[in-house]
Amino acid sequence: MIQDIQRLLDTYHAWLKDKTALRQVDDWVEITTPYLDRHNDYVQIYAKRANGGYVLTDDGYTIQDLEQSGCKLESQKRQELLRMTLNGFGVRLEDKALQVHASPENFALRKHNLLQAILAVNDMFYLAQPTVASLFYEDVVAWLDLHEIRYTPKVKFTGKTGYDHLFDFVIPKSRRQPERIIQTINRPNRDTAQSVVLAWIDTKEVRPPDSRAYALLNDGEQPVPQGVVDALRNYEVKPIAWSQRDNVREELAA
Amino acid sequence: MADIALTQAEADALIAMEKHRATNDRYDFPREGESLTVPLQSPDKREHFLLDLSRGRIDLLKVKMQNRGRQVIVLVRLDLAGPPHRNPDDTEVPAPHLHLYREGYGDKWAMAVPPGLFRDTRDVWQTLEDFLRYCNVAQPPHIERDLFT
Repeated sequence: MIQDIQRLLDTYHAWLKDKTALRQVDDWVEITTPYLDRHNDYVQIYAKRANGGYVLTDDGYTIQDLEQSGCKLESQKRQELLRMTLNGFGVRLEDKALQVHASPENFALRKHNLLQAILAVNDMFYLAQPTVASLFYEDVVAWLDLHEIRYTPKVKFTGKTGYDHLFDFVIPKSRRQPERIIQTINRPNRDTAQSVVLAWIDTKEVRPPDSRAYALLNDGEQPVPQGVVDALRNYEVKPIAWSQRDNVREELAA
Repeated sequence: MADIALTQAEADALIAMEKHRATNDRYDFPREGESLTVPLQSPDKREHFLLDLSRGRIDLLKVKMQNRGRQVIVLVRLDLAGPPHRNPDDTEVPAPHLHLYREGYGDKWAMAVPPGLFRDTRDVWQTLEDFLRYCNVAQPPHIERDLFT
């Protein structure tokens, strides 16, 4: 068995070599690697001689492509995540290009580190806003399920104005608690808070008088602005930061 | 909030939808290592799109033209020069190639550039015109050509 696997590994090594292509571009050598990015394009890097060794770079493609896929790296948290990812592979950021220096002795290792860093940064796409929104919703579903909080997802109510409003969850009235309506807000800011407030103002008159509204606020990416908390409270929507969710667990489960 | 998964019918409708420039701003076609993102919108302004252009720093011929919908969904992407592509069925497509949204895969499928629709992919400026036509950008943004385009 071990011989079979060894033979297969040898084939794999041959395939990796076969799938690596080199091309001279001015004073750089373009290396097309066997690894695919999230578009299924082969990852390319560039190498040239520098200071008795080599400089290896992605030519700025990874971050440029990430930004042009809707994943901005402006927030402090994302910058930290990017730095941490690169530090882990010993890769530096030079004018948005991922770059390493290699000696002839450690060329293979440094090249491998650069490729791993490219693929790791490439995966940061999954932090793009709408993706995070759907993940936050999934997090909330998982938490409600874990604590056996019984809810109906995605419930639409027609407000006083005749407009329909879709709420993420409704927890029906129990012996101890009234109806609870929950909206998740992935990026808590003035606009998203306002939209929840307007939906609630329009809806509450057509719901039972003791019906309560909650906004679950994602504070995993950045802290919730105080103005958002105040605005929600002023219109009787109870704001719950996701990091403080355990404070309302019993209230919602009852 | 947008979802990252569209049905094929939704994606096809977005690709075919007429698009107009969202502003009258003027832009320069990306020079070496530069990138540009330009907002587009449907005639009724209810649907928003983005046109992304970028160019390599080391290889100036490495140019990407991309049309996004719903912020993060790549509907159409044209790679001029640059690396080859491998489709989920293991078929390989060299550059230039055209990525088209496919339900369940996003932009992970690409094909050779359809010759009837793109006149000459070695001519970057003409290809931008063809790309905008392909994406049904009826009122293109104001983009200035540079010496290398």
